[in-house]
Amino acid sequence: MSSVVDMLRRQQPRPAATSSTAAAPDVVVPSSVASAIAREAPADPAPRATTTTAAATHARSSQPKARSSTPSSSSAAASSSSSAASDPAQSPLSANAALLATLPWVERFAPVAAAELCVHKKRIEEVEAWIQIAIQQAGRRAGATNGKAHKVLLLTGPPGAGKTALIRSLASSLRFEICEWVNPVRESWKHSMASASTAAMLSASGTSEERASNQEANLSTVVAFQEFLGRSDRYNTVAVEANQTSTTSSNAGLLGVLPTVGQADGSSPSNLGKVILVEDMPHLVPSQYASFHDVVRNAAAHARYPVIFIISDTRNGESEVRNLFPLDVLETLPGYNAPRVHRISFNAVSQTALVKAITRVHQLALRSSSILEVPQLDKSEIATLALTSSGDVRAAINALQFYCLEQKVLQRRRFAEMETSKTRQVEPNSNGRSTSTGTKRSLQEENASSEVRLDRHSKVRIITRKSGGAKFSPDSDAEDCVVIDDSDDETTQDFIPARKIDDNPEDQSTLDGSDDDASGDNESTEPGWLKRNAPGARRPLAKQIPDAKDLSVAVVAAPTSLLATGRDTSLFLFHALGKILNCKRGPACLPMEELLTTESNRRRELLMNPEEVIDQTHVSPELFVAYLHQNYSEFYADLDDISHAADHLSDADLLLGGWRNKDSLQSHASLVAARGIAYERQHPAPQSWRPLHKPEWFASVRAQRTSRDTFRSLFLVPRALSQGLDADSPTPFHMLPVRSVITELLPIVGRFPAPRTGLNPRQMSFLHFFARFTTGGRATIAKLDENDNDERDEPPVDPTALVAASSSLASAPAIPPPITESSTRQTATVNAPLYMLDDDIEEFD
Amino acid sequence: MALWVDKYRPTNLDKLDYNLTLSKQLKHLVSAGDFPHMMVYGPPGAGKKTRVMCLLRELYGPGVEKLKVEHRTFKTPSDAKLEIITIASNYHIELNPSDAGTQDRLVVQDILKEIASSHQLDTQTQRSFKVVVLTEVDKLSKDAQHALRRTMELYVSTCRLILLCNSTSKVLSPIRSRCLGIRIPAPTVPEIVTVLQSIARKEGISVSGDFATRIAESSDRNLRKAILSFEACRVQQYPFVSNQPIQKADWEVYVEQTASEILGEQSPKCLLAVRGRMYELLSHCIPADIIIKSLTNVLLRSIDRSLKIELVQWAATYEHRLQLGSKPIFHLEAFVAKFMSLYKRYRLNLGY
Repeated sequence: MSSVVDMLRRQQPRPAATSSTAAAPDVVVPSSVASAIAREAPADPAPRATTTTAAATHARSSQPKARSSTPSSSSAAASSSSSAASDPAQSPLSANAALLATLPWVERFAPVAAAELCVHKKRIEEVEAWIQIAIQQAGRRAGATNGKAHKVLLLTGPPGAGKTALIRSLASSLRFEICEWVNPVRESWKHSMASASTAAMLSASGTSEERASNQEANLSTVVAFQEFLGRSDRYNTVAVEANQTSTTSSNAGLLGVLPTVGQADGSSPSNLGKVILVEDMPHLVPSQYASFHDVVRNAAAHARYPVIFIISDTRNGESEVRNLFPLDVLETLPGYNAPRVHRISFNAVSQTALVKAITRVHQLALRSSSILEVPQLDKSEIATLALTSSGDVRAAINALQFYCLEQKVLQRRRFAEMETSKTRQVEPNSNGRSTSTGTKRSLQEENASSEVRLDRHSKVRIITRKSGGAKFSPDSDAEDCVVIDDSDDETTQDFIPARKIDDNPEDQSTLDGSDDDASGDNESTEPGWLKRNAPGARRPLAKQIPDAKDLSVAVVAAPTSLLATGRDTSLFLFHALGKILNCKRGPACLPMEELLTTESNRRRELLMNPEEVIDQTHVSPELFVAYLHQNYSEFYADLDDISHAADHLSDADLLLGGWRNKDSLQSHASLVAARGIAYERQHPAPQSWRPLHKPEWFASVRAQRTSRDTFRSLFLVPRALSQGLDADSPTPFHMLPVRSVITELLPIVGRFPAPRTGLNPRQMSFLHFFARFTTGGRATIAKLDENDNDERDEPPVDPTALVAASSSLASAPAIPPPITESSTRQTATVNAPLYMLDDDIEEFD
Repeated sequence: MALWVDKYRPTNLDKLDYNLTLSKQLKHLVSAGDFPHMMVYGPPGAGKKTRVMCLLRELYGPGVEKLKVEHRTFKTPSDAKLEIITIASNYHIELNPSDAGTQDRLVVQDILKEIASSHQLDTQTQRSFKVVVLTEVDKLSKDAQHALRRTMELYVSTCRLILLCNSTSKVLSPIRSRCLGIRIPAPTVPEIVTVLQSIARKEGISVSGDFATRIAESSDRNLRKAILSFEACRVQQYPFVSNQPIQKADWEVYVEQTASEILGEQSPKCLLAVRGRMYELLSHCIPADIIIKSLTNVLLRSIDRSLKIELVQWAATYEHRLQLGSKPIFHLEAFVAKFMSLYKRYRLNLGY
């Protein structure tokens, strides 16, 4: 994306300000000043734009090595001399605004204030509190902070949850600057870039450091990263004012050292706090993890400025987090009462917050662009956009922009068509419409709406003729409205006037009150309709969605164009299991089902589609079936149902069993299991919250393997027999198949006193451990976390572990190998209430 | 270390306590000079291995009792190392190829080739062939069995095979037809009692016929189990009391508890608890087919005759399924659920 931004920028006739930013690919930009300016901009008429990083603020550019950027988008506004900082779009004439207009909406309308964020309030407070303390502590070494080291913060969460946006917004409200690490790029590429923009570079204002690029290229990433941390810790960023350009540019080219304009700690130009942000995690190969951990530990102990790491969850679970921040890095140091690395995990953005965010951006877009640019959207469309983006704000806003683009094209076409079809006879062909909206409207209503349609066609012509252009209402200040309507039924087949469009308070303020009531029931009256097209009112382009919360219905009802913009949804395993185990059913049978003669075989319509659910869960069928098996029985109330479902699972396992046909039958296995479980659930257990568990099977297999291997090494391998026995001659354990030894010999021999058996203490302790059976309790089973996806959690079996296991058996008898897979991610989720997507809440409540 | 099982194991065909006709026939076979491939099969604890060892002694003399454990490593085509433990004398080698898992074919071929490639040194006084004893042949993969069939023919001049297994049903018929099948039936209860009493005599302890019978009955006609249990009882308490509990393996006790749980309550919750117990058993390396079998045996004891047929039928069904499938727990649970649902219906019909 950022490359697109660059490209666009290059195409622009660049004023001095922009060229400086584009040509400032390197290192630390004095953003403190920039942000300060940004805040003061409205009051300050003097154009000081040149220092800011302008619109590139939020673009995660790939070319700079390290870039410090201003925290808010208002920096862009600052560059356009006298405009209001809060509304960047209101200065359409400025050159920067033109540049701004080419930015994607995600960047252009990035949130500034905390209220605009989609993050849960508690999470904001948590992060804010941490950073506040951290900034207060800045400058003091970790040792001098009463054991509360607020040095390293780790933010995790799904992409588009607002992690970065939160930090950036806090930067402006808490007044600190951000120094960001960006992975170094290859040498050769850098050179070409540098030569391309040499001139610009020379006049570059903010970027004052040229890294020792030829050295850097050869350094390992970890070393480079460590250096970066050290450097940003030791020196302040350069503060350069716009008019000082010439003086500072000479500093560029110093190797390895930050130009230190305001060296002294206190005399830092802005007196602002500083936070080091690492979002672009250093590219590491596994062998470098250890040294990365050292860097983090070091930072936690000695860093002066807080370091914030941001890692997005991927559907591969949290593997990256686990690699980069294993438990021993996260743990609390002795003598400290806070963990070394504080971890806060974010959840996917909720539906309501998404709708809010989309509405906000849409409003901003409406205000900022000329009339035909952005179409009005109605609530259902926004809801659908929110739904299809699966909790990802970034995806949602991108989808919004894309959708608006499409609508724009549609509108233009309609304009053209309307011009040509002035003489065309309009027919009410409402009979041919599809009725897939999910709501059943009465015939009357249909007729009524078709009348409306007729009316509207004529009206539209009138209006368009009258207005000629698009500007319709002279009195509308900001919210101009497009008043074209559709005359072709192909594009908007299911057009119904929106009845509840005016719920939104923002809109109501611009509406005259009578309109609301009139539109409530009286659709066919002309005034109501006319007024709906009055300024400020929103016009539905898509179908009416009856219940936006119900995903399945909404998605079915949404026009394909909306679906096309949606993020490719992938379900976390947690939700997928929930969907299948809770299998919701509709009120009635499908007509097909009615044909079944036996009453007991009929089921009501299934509201989820197992194929789809399985498709969206990126887990192997084998694992999926194992998860289903682990969790299904708690969702049943009736034993007979369970017995049938268990049969289906048994069938599924048969399909997974034969290795010859495994590839072709695997997918069927998960379907057999899922559908079987859904079908047999005639007496569901009462609705309540049930935690889902990870399959015990794998732990059991692991235990089995460990026991077998320990047995082997203790009893069968000759060197284990060296004590007391002739190493060469076989023992009874050799003479029998392992199976018989384990089931017949071992349990009895374990009861004999050691002298009688001639076994050594290690062997005896193994026998004692082996003979111990506990009544299996569910408490020990690892729970499935919401964000977990697949992972079998099978550590590679290495021989050293076995030796360790057997030796631990010897030293401390009868301690089963601990299964610690669950403990790894407790820290984060304990204090954070699990947040779930709306449909899941509905399911689990 | 001398467990009674080993201490009093007969080493001579003449000393075997039961299946006397069979011993006589084997003796004739050896003296006849011609010695075919053999497949010895029978339930566990019937004395297959003991008999084979006696047979080998008959063939080669006492030298065959000097055994040594060897560790052999094989290299798979993918360069992975494979370790197999073999027990060998100068005249024979014994191994359990199913230890090699999926690579059993390789092991079978390599070992046979190695043994067969060298002739006996002294063919005048010794037999001209060596013997390879393969245990748990019914656990061999089909691939390995085919490989076995071919090598059996190839090296027949220098080595003979004795295959041991519990059941011939899983052995390919070409192999079965190339072997002389010898079935070793399990000892009857009186036979076990005789053995136990002879051991007691040699140990110098007294055991009542009643107590010995109880041990024999609880051993499922498995002599090894009976002797082990007998020794465990001796360790636990001597002189024996008539009502002394028969020592059983812990897992068997655990299975009995599980069965009583199943009979006590039939509900989803109980099923979940039973699942936990099944996992516990599986984690202790108790094979799933043994679990299902012993569970069925315990259940059979305490249910009405009308249910027994169905129980056995379902047990057989699910045992078959778990052999075909990959995760036995699925089938164990399905079996328990099925029985619970049957038993619940039965109890409802009775009007409980």
